[in-house]
Amino acid sequence: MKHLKTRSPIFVGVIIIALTLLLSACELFAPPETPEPTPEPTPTGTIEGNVVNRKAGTAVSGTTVAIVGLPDTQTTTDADGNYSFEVPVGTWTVEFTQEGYATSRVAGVRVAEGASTHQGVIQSAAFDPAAPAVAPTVTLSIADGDTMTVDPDTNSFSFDIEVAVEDPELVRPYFVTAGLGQSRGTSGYLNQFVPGQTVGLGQTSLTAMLSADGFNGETTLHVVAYDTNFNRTEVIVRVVVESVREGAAPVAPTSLVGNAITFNDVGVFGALGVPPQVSGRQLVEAIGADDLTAFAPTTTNVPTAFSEIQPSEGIAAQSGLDEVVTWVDLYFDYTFSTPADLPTAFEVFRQLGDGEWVSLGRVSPFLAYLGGTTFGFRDATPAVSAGVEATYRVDAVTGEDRQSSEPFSVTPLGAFDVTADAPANGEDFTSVLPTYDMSYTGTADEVFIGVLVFDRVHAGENFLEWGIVGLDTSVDGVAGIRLTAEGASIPHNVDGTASTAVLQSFHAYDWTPIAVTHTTDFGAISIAADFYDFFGVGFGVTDGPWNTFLTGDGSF
Amino acid sequence: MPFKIRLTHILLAAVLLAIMTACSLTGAPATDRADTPRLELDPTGSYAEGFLIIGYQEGQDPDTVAASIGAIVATDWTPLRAALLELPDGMSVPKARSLLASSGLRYTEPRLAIEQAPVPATGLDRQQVDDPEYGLQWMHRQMNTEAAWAAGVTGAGIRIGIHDSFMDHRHPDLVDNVFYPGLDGFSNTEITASTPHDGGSDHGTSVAGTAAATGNDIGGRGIAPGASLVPLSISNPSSFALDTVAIVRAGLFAAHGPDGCSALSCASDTDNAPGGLGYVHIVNMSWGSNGYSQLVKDLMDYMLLHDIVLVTSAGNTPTQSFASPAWYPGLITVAATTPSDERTTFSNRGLHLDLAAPGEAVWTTTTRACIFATPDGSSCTPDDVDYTFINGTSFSSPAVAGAAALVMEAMAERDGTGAFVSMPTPAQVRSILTSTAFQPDGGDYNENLGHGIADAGAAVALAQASTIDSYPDGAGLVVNVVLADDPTVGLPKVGVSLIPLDGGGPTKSVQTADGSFWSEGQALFLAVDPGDYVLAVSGPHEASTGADADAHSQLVTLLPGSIRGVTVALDVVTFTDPNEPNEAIADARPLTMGSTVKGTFYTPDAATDEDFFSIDVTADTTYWLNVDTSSGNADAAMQVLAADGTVLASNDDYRETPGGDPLPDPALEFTPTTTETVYIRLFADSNSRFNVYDLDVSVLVGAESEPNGTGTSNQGNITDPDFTNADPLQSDQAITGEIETSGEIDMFAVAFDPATYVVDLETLVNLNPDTVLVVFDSSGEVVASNDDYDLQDSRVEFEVLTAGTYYLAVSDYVSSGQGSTGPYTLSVTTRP
Repeated sequence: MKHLKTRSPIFVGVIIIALTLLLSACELFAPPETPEPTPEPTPTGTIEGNVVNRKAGTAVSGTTVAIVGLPDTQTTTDADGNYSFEVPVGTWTVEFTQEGYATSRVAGVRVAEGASTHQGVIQSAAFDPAAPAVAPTVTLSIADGDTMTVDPDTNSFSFDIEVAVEDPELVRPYFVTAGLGQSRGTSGYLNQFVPGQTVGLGQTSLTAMLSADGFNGETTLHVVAYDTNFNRTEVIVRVVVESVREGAAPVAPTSLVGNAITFNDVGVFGALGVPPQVSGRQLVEAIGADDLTAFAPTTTNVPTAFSEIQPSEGIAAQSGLDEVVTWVDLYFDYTFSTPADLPTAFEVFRQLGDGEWVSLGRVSPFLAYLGGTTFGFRDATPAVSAGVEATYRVDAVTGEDRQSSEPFSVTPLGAFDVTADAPANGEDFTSVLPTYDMSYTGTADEVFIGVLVFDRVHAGENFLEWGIVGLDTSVDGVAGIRLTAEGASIPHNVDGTASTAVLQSFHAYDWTPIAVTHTTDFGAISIAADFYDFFGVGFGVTDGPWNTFLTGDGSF
Repeated sequence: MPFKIRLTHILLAAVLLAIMTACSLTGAPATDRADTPRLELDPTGSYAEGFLIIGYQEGQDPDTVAASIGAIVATDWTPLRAALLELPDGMSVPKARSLLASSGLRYTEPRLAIEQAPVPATGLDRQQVDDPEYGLQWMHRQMNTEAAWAAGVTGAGIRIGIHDSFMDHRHPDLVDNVFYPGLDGFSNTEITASTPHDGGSDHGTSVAGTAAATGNDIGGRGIAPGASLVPLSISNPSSFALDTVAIVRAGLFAAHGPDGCSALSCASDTDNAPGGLGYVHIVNMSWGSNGYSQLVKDLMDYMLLHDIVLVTSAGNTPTQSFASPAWYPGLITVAATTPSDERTTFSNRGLHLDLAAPGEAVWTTTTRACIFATPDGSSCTPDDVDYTFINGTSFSSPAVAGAAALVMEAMAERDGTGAFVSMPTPAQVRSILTSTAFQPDGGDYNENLGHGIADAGAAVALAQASTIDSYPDGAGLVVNVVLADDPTVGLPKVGVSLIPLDGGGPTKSVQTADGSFWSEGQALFLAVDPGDYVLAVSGPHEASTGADADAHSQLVTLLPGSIRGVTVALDVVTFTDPNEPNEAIADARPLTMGSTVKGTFYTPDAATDEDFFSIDVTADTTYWLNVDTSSGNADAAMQVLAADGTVLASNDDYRETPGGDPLPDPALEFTPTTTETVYIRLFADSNSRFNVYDLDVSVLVGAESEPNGTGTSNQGNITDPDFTNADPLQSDQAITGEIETSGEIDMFAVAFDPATYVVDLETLVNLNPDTVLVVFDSSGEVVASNDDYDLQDSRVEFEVLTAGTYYLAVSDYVSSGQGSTGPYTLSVTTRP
């Protein structure tokens, strides 16, 4: 993990806001109220939230949101996936259903009188439309109000989970995760700072063992179970967790900055065709030094930038086809000499637009640690969305004491989409001095553009024919380059660094565009295509265009 | 001249003999002299340390090549004219490739740890099941397999090679379908019913079950539940990665079988698959990598010539980028689908796709937990029938391999007893599958699903309604690329593309393999669709060969059932020596002291060429004369002659290399006793236009003066240079030095005017030191650098645009703290 180019924090918030936040935070960790549903629902509160199709995914509109056991209490998500409805005070199971989608359920949603409960949820398209859309049944060995027995040697606690599906001949239990204070998915990358674990894959009876570090008091525990049709059940219980490790008195975190990152149509799955384990920076240096061997897919011997950022437990973000994922990476400093100086936890709060401040959860400093005195957090909750300003604050917390950072705001960008126009994929008999044309939509303040050209059948020797990376609109008009907010035309070998100045005639090549857009301050980044991660967010957008073409007879 | 021959098996064999002029397809696969049970992988996990695969030329001795870098030949695959070298301790693979870069090899490749299809990112662990779980196998619904089974076709009699990690060959839902022996390509031992599992990954077991798990009361079943599975293990059990050596062994075994013979290579073959030419009918390859590999391409062609149907996965990175072997001609490449008839998020897309098939949440067999506990299966019971959900194009491929087995069984020609006599060809099988595939959008072809999702029922119906003789067959093309001036010279590294004129299918591009076992300069397109094509040829690759490329295109019509041969003569512009003729003292060309001149050992009119140059020398001054051959395979030698022809000095090989230097170049120090004009005679044993050399002449001014600079040398780079105390040198001078301790930096300061300069390092002792040379400007920016130009020696050529002082930093190649020491000579010359 490394800092991106970061911006100075903009002090949108004031201390009064921060103090107000403390109150709302305390409310989230208030002692449990009577958990039973009230049979006579006179007092009411509100449940509001949004539905997305996967972690950091896109909004799902038209979903019916209903309270199990209250047939008349339901609503529908709007075009942005948002919903809000009045619900009797109590603790409820909320069910999300829509034709063509798997069914999601959230049990343990608490509604207080006159209060608003935020509940974001993931509802995926049904994997197999012919399979049942019934959420699995999840039974836990713990209940609301339980105090967890923390093993002093491991600072962890255990509980049991049972998962049942309605028709095991057609679907099976899939994966089960458990998170503390936040719900957790299976993406190792997006869940990097979510306390908890993936408990199991495929089993019906499981035992979870979670670290207690970072928690001292009541917290929510979120168990999420999917079946193979992506039906999802989340069970929320409120438990008391007392970490064995006692944090030091907190001081205020400083230098809170971040990046909102939008990946367009990303797929990161690994294995076949995984990019060479060379970082974009190394590749830039390789181009600069004219040492193209770094591009040979199997001949390099370089440290893996990937391993620094990708947790060993899982893969990186993955969207559906033609979908977008958006999240916010936060970085902050916390001065310490030894680990004993660290607080019990960091707690991260977020405000969307002028809305309520909400706690996104707390995280042990050891889980958040990135090196030096830098710590991190990743907000991949359903509410992060393009064009909505998100303001963050981090508290250092030990016991009842907490110290807050200054706030930091960022507005995520929408999808940035690039088309590799020419040479087109499969185009035969092109110029031996082609101009690489791309067009893009969704441009923010500035672009980061590049072209990589590969010799198709000389991998390992002269794999990279030519590469130019990191162009912005300042080069528009220079040496025949066209580079605007709408697209780019980059003549082959415009910088004279190509392996051969003119492409061979009747020869096969591939080219792929690098296309990233960002705000002037680099706070928000949207990536259309960057297979090798030249921009440096940690891993590449791997399904951008990649056109193969064959040059003509060399006469043009 | 083009030739067309009906593709019958006997005649094909004759064609092969014509094609494989240099091939020695005798007997068993090459025997191994040494094998290594466990491999250490490089830090990226992409290849094995300590090994290098080389493709050598006809007539080239791999033992000699190996000895030149202190390596030994572990395995020599004569049919592929490739060998596995075991590198000396401490020598990295990139280093070995670099050392051999100019040794005339066809190629060098690391012993790859090829990525297999993914461990399921969101898949399930193995689990116990007791009941038939057909309802979980949505693949049968999407692929319409029940219709095929209802037609009485289950793949019976068809052998599918599971070219994959070691499958759990005694899994209760596979065991009845396993055909023995298989081969463990990693240990190079046959797999029989009693062979223990290698303890590696689950992958091959899940692939096998997708293709042909048995139809019984256990678990689910494969697409071809009656087909046979032949285990062809290609993985390194300690790393789970695939191994190129094992890939080659298992691929040859798929063609030859345990008797080492195939119908093409032996008069009598004892173990052919019924009706086929190889040991198996189908090979499934759920693996790949993203670089073109001549070794893998050769292997594919070898199996295709045995009419083995090759099915492979498209890959799991959702780009359109190149993948090997998926992009090679003649294969069936398969993308992955979901039950919603869409490509999965991870599946590769692109113009190379033939078909799509289920690839997400595929319910299939997995290696039993008891096998990991006891690889010999001693703790397993009949109740251990582990199944799993699994994701990846790796499982789409065997689904199609199963469908191919159904097609082959349905279409096979049989004798009166029902035994197979003749089988549909790879191109016929592919055509039947693609023409019957289900395209959800109703179109013809797209880059997400290729021709569509394989429909086993429709494919079997078409196969049953067709005969091998009547169904259009595929075609083949063998392109011989030769030098126009001398058609006996095959040209290496020439790109050859086949562009369909009717819009059917993508352009496929390959390169010629100079000296491959087919014949020098040949490129093969086997089992492709018949039709009209543009054949486009260009090369050789300029940066690799130094030659100016030529290009050629023509129309070719490929008729069904024939292999066509086309010879393409390229008028390649090789370097023309401007100093010719200079074959005698009388014709000697004068040289300026401190210059580099380029020439060739080539004359079209004689058996060999020699070149004469003259220089004016001063008595008692020492001169440094150095020859570096930059391409070709000439063994150059040098003499210094007086005007009367008296030999004043001579050298053949400056550095003596144990086992013979693959590229021995001369160099010498010479101190004349009189001031006069002397003559340099260069000559060689070889006469070829590719024999290009440089001759550097400079004044040797003595030895370095320590201390002379500091810095850090690592992996061929020199960083943190300190120019303090750099030894002064002029731009026409040479100097001797020594790396006394590994990592030492020797720094030399030279004033350069705008010009093109050559800086050269020559070493006397084999591998000591292995030099690194970096040229810095006065601000510390790197102007040029080189690790290995000619084996261990470094050499750079660069253009100076701004006059000033530049610094030449010399060190040894240091990696993981290991390096080398020894004397060297550094020279600076100007390229006129």
